[in-house]
Amino acid sequence: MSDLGGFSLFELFKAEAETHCGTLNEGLLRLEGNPADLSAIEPLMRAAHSLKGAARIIGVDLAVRLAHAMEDCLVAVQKGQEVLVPARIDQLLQGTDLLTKLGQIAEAELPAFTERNSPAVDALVETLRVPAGGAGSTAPAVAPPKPAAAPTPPESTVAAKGAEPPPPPATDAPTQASSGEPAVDRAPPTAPVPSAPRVAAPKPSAAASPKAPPVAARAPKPPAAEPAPRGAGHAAAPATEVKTLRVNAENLDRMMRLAGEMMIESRRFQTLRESVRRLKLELESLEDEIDGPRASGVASARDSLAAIRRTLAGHAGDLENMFRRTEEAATALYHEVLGSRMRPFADGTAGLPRMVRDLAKSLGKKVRFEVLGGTVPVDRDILAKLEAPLNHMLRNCLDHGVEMPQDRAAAGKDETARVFVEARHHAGMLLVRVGDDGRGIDPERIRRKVVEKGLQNETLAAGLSTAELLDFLFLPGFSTASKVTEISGRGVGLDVVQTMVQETGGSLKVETDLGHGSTFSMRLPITLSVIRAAVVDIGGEPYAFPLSRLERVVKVPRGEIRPIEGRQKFELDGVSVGLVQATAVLELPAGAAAGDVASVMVVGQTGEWLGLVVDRFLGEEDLVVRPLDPRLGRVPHVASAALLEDGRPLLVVDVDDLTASVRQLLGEGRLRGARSAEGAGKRRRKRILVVEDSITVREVERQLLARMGYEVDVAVDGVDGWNVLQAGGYDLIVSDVDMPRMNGIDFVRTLRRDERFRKIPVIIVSYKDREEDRLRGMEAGANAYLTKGSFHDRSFATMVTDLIGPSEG
Amino acid sequence: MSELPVGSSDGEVRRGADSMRALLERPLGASELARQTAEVARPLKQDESDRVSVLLVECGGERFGLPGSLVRRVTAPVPIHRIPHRSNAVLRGLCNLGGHLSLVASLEALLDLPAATQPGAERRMLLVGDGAEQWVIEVDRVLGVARIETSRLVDPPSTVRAAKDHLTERLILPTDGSSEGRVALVSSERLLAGLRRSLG
Repeated sequence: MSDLGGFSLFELFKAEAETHCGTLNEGLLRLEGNPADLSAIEPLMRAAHSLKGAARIIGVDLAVRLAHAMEDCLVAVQKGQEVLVPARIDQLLQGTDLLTKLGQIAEAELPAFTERNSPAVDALVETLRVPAGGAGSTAPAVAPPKPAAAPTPPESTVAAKGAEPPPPPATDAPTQASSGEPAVDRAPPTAPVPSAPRVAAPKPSAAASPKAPPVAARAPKPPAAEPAPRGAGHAAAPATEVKTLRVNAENLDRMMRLAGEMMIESRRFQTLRESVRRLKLELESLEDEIDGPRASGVASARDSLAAIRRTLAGHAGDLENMFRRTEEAATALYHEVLGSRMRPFADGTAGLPRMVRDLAKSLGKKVRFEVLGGTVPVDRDILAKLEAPLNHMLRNCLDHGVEMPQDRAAAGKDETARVFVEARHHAGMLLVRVGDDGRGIDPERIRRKVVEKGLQNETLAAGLSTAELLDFLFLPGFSTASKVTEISGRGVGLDVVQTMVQETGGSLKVETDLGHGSTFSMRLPITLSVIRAAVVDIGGEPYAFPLSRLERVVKVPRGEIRPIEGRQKFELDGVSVGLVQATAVLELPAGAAAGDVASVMVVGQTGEWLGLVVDRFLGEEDLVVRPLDPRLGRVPHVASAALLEDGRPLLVVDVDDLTASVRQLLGEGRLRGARSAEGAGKRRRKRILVVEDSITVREVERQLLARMGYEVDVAVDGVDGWNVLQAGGYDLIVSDVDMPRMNGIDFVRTLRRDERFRKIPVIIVSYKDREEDRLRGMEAGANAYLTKGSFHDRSFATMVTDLIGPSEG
Repeated sequence: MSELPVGSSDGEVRRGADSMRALLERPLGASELARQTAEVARPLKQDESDRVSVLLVECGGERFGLPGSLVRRVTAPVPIHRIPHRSNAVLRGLCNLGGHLSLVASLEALLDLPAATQPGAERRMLLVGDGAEQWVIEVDRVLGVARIETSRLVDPPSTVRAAKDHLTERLILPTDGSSEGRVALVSSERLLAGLRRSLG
């Protein structure tokens, strides 16, 4: 047992014991109620296994034996070699109680505890080894440890780390960080910023070093070591449970050293401050001397002044150095902290090879599976979110994409198909791809299916682009599989992928080459908490544009901006780009147009660029984004907030939302503008807002309603719809469900919460025709829920007139 | 203290009064003086539960009391960032107070008082409320914390004339009990409710 570096391994064990014993207790009780539920055993095995590993690290043999026996017993049950009789559950609970107790004692009590409980544990281990009324009578004793059992969790990694001798005094401590330490399991990639290890190199002079070891050892305590505070903690957040994170050990070490270094640096300011204070006193006495009656005072004062000046010059140099070192250390620490959020991609893919192998086997297919980019650092939150989508996409690949070996041979391909999962960083985003070299997706087949399912009529379906057709794959309940299999083909799953990608603000793309395979690509933010952004001044205040959403930043001489058709435009790569003042979109007072050159943020897709004029371009920065205060609700055009280096707050622009609004100002805005002028003379026609992301469907709805005589405005998604709605005056809203940014359900909910829009009738029109989808829509507050097939019969038109009557009146 | 001379006749009484005067007017010794001074200076014993803690502030040219329990922190002003489409007269924007992004509201606007033409050197930011109801408000000056006896708190007149009356819970009477110079004690709940309304 060791107690080094200010925290003890036993503390770590206690934290772990608490978690795993909780799992065991809960699971065993559930099994007691439903012994047939074998799926509940898996987590219990994992818990017992982890406890065994943790006990081994702290060297408590008693607990190792007990946890081992419990694990064996659970394995036997899962394999069907033993039936879980009530007596067995009692024994397992008894074991759990013992381990729980062990996790509650103080380290000093350990020998006494071991002695006192040894007989009981021995007896219990024996009992557990004897099969209790099971099928295979000798099985438990020989049952091998479960092969796929979870590896020892990272906490023990931290623990192993802590057991090493503490970093030797100051001078060589920092270099150790860059020279690489004895490998911890799965050596993690370093923080994404190259400067991080470098900063550890310069070291304060020997004067301060004696202080180093205690500082480094005492100050930081690994979060993993702290059992989550319960009950009588702070009253601040009683409802939310404290999140315990698993932190990469190497990362934590570096943070510890950096924190120590910063503390030493800050103490050096103290001596400097003391000296400056002395100088101030000397200056005061000097003044007295000059004012004094003695003539000789002037000469001696001059000498003193020269001395003070020399000292001050020295201080200025010291201050400069200290400032530089402190800044470097602070920057490095900051990047380390950011890096601690990252886990290697491989952490999230450990279970995939096994899953693919088993699945391929059961399908009778031959597959070579590869995970590429296992070391790519991925934000832990994103990694967690990736699990389900990766699973679904791989299942989909194997079932639909990969052909039977004989078919592949017939097509002249290798019998063994290649399936891969790949992660890499690309253009400031995390790109995760799942692909195969199988049969590919036939867009014509989707087209037929769309018509067959009555989602669109033939004319409309014929006009759908390949990209639009591929979108149908993500529709719940939509499947092109000719037969439903256990694995997939019920159209369940891919919508999960889409939902996840949309939630994290990413995008999803399917590429397919008929006969040669398909690839699903998810573009996700590298982390949910840090973005690289261009910081600009708008209306005298800082705003940030995420670089991933920014096409370009250009400086345009004002002379090159020309009004065309009443709008400001300039040429970029031979393309005419419309310009809008950022202050105008954000509804801020216009700033003074300074200088001869306009700073323009170019957003949108190639060929559809838009330019936003900002006051000034301030630079690029890594920003730790924070959600806006929830009390604000959704703020148009703003995604989140962050702090600048000088501590000033800034707002992160929601570029997609802003682009949509700018497009309205430039394009569709014309329609809206014209309408108000035209409406003045005529009798008021009823106005309908159509919210739909597919341009095809949007156009169908618009034309249909316009033919009925209504005035129609369109919006491309919920957020856009919400913005448009603010103008007021709509008699009916027609909304799709699946839309980026804000889906139809959230959109309807949002407007039902708002007093102004509570009474406007809403029709939801969706491809989703399951009863639960319809219920979800109605519960959100829709007045009617129709499927998109309803355009072809009269039901859509009838519903509209039922709800709001004819177009005029 | 020496014993008083006692007499029964007129002369004795006069003599007694004289000596009484002599006694009372005699110069006090240093230690006696100190003891008496301490006695006089000793604050009247007061039950602390009879007092409320009030932060006295100046804002929009008027004085107010804010319940001490409401105010978490007082700091020098920091930059405020407007929130597009959301900022209004009351909701001024966001500020960074100790690494935490807080919503900033104008107390002047909420109380319908004239805003300071230019912020003075004594302007302060107050962090008020807690949890999901935390706000930062600005005041022109913080006068200090006072512990006010509850006996000095009276109900305000029932007629509500201005926005500030609406937020007033009690009036703090000056120590002399006169009606001049009464200070409004703002109600925590009504202040927070008013701020909440600014979110639209």
